[in-house]
Amino acid sequence: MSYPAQTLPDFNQMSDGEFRQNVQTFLENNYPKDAPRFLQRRARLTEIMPWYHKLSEQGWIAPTWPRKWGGMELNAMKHLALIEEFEKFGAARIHDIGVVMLGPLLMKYGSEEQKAHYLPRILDGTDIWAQGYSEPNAGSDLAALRTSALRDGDEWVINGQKTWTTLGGDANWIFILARTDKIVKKQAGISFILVPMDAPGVTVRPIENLELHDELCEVFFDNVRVPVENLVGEENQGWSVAKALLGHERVFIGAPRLSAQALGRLKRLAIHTSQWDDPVFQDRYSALSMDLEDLSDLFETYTEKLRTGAPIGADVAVLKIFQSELYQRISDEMIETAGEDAGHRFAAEGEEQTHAAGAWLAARPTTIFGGSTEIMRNVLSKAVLDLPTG
Amino acid sequence: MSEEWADNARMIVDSLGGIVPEDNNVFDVRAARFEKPGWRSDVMETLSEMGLLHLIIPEDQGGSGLGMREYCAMVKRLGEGIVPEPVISSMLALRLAKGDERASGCVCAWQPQSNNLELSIGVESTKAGLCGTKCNVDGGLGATGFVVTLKDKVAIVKADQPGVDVVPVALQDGSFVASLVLDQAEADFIDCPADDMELALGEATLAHSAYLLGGSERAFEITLEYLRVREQFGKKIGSFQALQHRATQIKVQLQLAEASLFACAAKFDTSQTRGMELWKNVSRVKTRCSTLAMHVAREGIQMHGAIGYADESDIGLYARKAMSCCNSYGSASLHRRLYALYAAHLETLSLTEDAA
Repeated sequence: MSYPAQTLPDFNQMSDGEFRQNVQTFLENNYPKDAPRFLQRRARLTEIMPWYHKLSEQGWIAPTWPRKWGGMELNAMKHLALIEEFEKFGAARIHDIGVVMLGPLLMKYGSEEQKAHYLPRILDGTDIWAQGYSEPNAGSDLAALRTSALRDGDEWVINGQKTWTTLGGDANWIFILARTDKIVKKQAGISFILVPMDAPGVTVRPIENLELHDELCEVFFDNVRVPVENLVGEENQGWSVAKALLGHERVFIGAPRLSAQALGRLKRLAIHTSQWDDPVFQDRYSALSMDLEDLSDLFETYTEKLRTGAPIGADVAVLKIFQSELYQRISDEMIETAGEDAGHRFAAEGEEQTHAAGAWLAARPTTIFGGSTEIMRNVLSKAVLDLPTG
Repeated sequence: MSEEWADNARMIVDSLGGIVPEDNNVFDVRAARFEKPGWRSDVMETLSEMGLLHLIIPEDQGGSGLGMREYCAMVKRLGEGIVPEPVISSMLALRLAKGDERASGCVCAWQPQSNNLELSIGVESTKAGLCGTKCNVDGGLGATGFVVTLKDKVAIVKADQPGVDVVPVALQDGSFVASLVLDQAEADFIDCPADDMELALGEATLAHSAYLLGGSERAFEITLEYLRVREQFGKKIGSFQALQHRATQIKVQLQLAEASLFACAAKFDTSQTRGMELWKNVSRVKTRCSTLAMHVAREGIQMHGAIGYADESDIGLYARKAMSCCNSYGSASLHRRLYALYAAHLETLSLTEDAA
């Protein structure tokens, strides 16, 4: 099978500057005129699909996938540059769970039939995927999940509930972790299964979040039947399948760009409120600024490892901890700096960049989702500091 | 030994059952969010009928003549229920108008711009009427009038008249403040020397600190309740020492804030401390309570985990409230700055006295 991406130049051979120039030109030429830019929330399906399709047609939809499967096969540094340029441009984030999570996972664990069937459908946007991991009583303790899949002839019968499913209402497929063996130790009896959202018995309920957006969802499964072929990897090996997913994403989640963007906003706010020249403010700002630069240096040590192919250890958790907490501290400072205007629900016209309340709320989930700071600290304590467990 | 003020305070708090439910549910407050004017007139009427809005108005001005400790106890309870009504703003209006009947139903428009506590500027009295803008007017939407602070006097301005524009500003907690834009508006005037005005603003700042403390206390309780019931890894998450220590850190701050608040309120009531010494105390309390409110908001959400990021969780109501009003009557950094100024002045004064 041939893909548009296979006709693209070898970006990995380009200098950083040349590549970034390519990305900028690409965005200028291809970003749909009426697609939202600098959106403060996740775009919804109808807003984003023209961009999705454009990326797909041009072969830019899957930056890290191998060319063989229709990806750009960018190395980590080029991928990071691509993300940065997209953000600088204000391109809305596509519904990328299929590209970022399921695709790489299928390449590693999927059968040849699964790869041939699902990967092209991710590339062309036929399938929009959602992730079904967390449950009401299985968040940080994910292995406690109770959604069950029981074998009945040629089918799995699924019952249970998933939650915090991002954009679940926009997806037509969901991959879930379900319990297929209730007797063994809890991580051991879990399987990874693909479920169409339009199967009878699947219902979705949106959850309004703290920012009053409803992109998160609960997904309920009531005697949902899917063919046995929808199992990915071995039965009862779903935990390992899901865990193996985190490649260089573990490094990127600690990238300094969220904090850098927030610090830029803090500066604008300080200028806007005539506090920029205040030495008291400068003292606090400098402390944050130094933290950001230190974070960048720390981040570099990990990207260097990616560049040289050195293994990424469990200590990479320090990146996520420091990045997310710094982002929050900067947003706290925005609240302080905005004075009585801090609580304004809406940004003033043209002042979206200095909206303190928006920044504060947006910074909250970074220490909760994708492994809370508390879980990251547990990982460090156990796997890095080698402390005894109670 | 029970003191008189404490008995009064207890009675007042007990009388608020119809406004802050005894089981602390926030159904009504949640339901009233995002609807203009952002507060419930029947609640204000109830408070008014109970005489509570006249709590600190001296008896010779038709009030109850009670003190700041009673006032703070009352507002702290309102804070526990994150009651959105403009109680402090209305009480400040009455206080500045010396209990004048025309100030009933009014809220106070005192702030010229954010991060600025200069009461006397923003609006000027001209031959043609009042002109200028006051901002962040709590309860400004729906108020029948405004007590506007000017130089050495206050103006009582009816809302429903030419030259009065009330511009709503939506806040994160679902309430609203307003900018009051006056263009040759008619007004009645009441003399009010700068010292009286500052005293009244000090009282309001302290009361607002009590409101923040009440909200923080309740947000902490909600979080503790969650730590006691939520299970992960086969245990109540409240049994994890890392979370226990963070919870106790909040407890330490709550007790500091409470002690600092009521000690300051007592200074108002016993009249032993005046002027800058008193303002220095108020700034200390406000700094502590503002910082506390955001600390509890952050930790409350984080300790709730993902559910804390869902609007259906009550902890979010408290966090939004903290964001919306932690900086009202001056942010922590503004009050730290004021504290330093007062401290320096007081030191100079005492050196001068020593020399004399």
